[in-house]
Amino acid sequence: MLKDILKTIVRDGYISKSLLAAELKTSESVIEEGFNQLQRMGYIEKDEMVKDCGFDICPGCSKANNCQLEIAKIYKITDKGRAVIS
Amino acid sequence: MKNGKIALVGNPNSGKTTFFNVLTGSNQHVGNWPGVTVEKKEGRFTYEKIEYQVVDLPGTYSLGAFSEDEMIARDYILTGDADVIINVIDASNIERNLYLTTQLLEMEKNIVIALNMTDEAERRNIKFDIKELSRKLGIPVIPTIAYKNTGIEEVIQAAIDAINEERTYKNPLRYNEHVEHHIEHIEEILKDTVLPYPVRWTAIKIVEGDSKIMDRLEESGVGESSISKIKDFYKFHSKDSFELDIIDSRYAFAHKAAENTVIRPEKETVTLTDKLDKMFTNKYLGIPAFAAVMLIVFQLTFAVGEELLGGIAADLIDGLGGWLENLLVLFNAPDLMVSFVVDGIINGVGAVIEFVPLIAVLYLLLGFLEDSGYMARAAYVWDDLMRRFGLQGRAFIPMIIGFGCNVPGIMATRTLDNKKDRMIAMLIIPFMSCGAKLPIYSMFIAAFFSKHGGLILFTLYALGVLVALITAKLLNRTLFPGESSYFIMELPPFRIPTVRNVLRNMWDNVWGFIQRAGTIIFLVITFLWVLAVFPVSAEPYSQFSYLGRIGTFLVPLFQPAGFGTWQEAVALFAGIPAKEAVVGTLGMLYAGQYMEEGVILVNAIKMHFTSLTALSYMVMVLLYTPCAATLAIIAKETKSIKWPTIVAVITFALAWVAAVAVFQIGTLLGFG
Repeated sequence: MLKDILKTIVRDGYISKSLLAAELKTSESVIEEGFNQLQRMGYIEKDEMVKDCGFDICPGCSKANNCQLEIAKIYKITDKGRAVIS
Repeated sequence: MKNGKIALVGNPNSGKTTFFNVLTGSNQHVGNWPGVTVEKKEGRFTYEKIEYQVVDLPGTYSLGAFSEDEMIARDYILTGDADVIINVIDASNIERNLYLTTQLLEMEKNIVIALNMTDEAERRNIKFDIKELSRKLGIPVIPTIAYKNTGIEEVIQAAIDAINEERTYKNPLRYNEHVEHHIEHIEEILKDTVLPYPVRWTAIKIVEGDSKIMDRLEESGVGESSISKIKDFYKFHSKDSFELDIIDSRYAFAHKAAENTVIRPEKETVTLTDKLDKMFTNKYLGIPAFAAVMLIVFQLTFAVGEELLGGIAADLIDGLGGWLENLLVLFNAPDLMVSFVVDGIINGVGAVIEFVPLIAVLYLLLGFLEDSGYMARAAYVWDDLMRRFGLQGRAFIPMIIGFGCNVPGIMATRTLDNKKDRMIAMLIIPFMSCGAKLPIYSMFIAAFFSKHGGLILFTLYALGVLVALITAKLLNRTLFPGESSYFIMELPPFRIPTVRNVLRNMWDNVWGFIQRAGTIIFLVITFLWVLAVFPVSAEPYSQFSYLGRIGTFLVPLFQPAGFGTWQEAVALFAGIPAKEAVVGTLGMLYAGQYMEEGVILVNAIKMHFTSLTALSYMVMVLLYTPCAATLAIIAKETKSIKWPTIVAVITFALAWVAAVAVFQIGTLLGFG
């Protein structure tokens, strides 16, 4: 199942837990837990987008409030994850 | 009957703590597990005059070695003195909870399942075949509602029976042939060893590649020979990964156990979000859908922001200009001051401010899209498109930011850890048409293309994107070859945008626009105004003023592109400090030139341009040298002068070629 989750998200390039649940014929909460396990085990890791890039001009920038650094959550497939899907 | 110790294990939010509180009442003690800051809860209860101790283990989804909570729970179950484990399961989420159960079964301990929150499950029309579930798992399963104290006594009785009968449970879970073979091999190595854990469980953990098990075996005094053979096993299978096979087998077991024993109502598992995503993230439909959405945004921006509200803003500013002029004349203000205030500020800076409604509507609509969750889909589509042009990773986010303003877009490339992606993103972001260029396009569109404003705007943005992608492809192949990072995006569900977020996004951008008009554009216009009205010997705003002379010198450069007047040349260069200054400069110069006639900016544009030269001018503006702030940030981020110089020169040259091509080809085809 975790292998299937990993392969499917790499295949699609995005994560939709409800679609994964439908495709793998299980519940969304199982997919959620499987996804969390993949993170815990180091097959994928959340790419923490920094809200504050450390720029000292941000306070004066008119775009600072809506810099849009968190348009979507991003995850990175680690080397361990790539070894499984390759 | 003997007293005993009970451990409670379960997922977070399974009702385990409520279960513990119901069992123990006030007979509880809270401390910490040794050496860690994780809370340890112990208590006792008396049942049929016999006292039992209860330990509430940390809530955990699994019993691996990935977190302190997991390790505490696991170690206690394996080596602690619990006589029976009560596994508290959330009945409405049984399959997820059963994963932990499979790991408990592997430990071959006394287990009783409290199938908790059955009332919640009933509300969701979930039904259970408890007997069959118990048979499949090989352990007692008792339905409970802990907070109502329902079923608790039955669970206690089952736990006490397990203590008194000293049952042993055989793990019913078997893995695939390949994995079982290795488990047996490890069991063989360990068979004559005195272990602190069950042999099979230890073998499973070793094959699984559990990071802590070797430490534990060495600590517990397992012989050198066995340790050495296990290390050989790891070395030989260093490239294999049985971990996922083992975990998937557990999930499969849990799924099989739940099959036919947990009956859920038939429901629509595919949500509205997923249905919309089928189109918005589709390999073939995603980009056309994005294009269609943006076309609608631009059309609405023009229809409402320019045609409906823009005229009101222009009238207000004209009115203000007229009033100020009359006031200054009334107070016998010097001509120079009147000229500065009316031509410089009102017609120069004011020409930029007139586009505030346009900016407001555009960012209102973009804010709506972002808050709805659509922009995440746009980012996904971009990401997919960019991969085909050799730019992978999260580079799409700085590029999307670059559409608002190139400066934060370039700064955001700092979040790209791949150097290649970072450099390429930085160098192509100037082709993202930023918000500052919008007044320029709007001015020409209002003059020549008012019926097709949205389409023209869309085409310009699309052209910028196309040039960016082609540049990325070239850079990827030449200057920055290399592997890119591999990212997956989690798309948030679609939601109804909140008024607060949408208005805040709009206000932030409008205020930023007004601020820039009041600062940098004001300074640029003031400087140019001085150059335009001096020397005193020359007619103000004429080609004999200082500004006119500079512009006349530059004119030959732009004549092949069709816009060969000094005002147009000067305005382009005024756009280097700030792009909006192009509008302000033309506004000031034409106002000065047609002072007596009172010609408004749009009409002046019609007098000085044709539709073809307007197009070529817009293409020039789209692609040419980015603003000074952008160049400065590129210098800062690359820690060199080389890259901003290259960007400044290459973008200017590229823009010139494109503008000339538009004009010359257009002329050949009989346009303009």
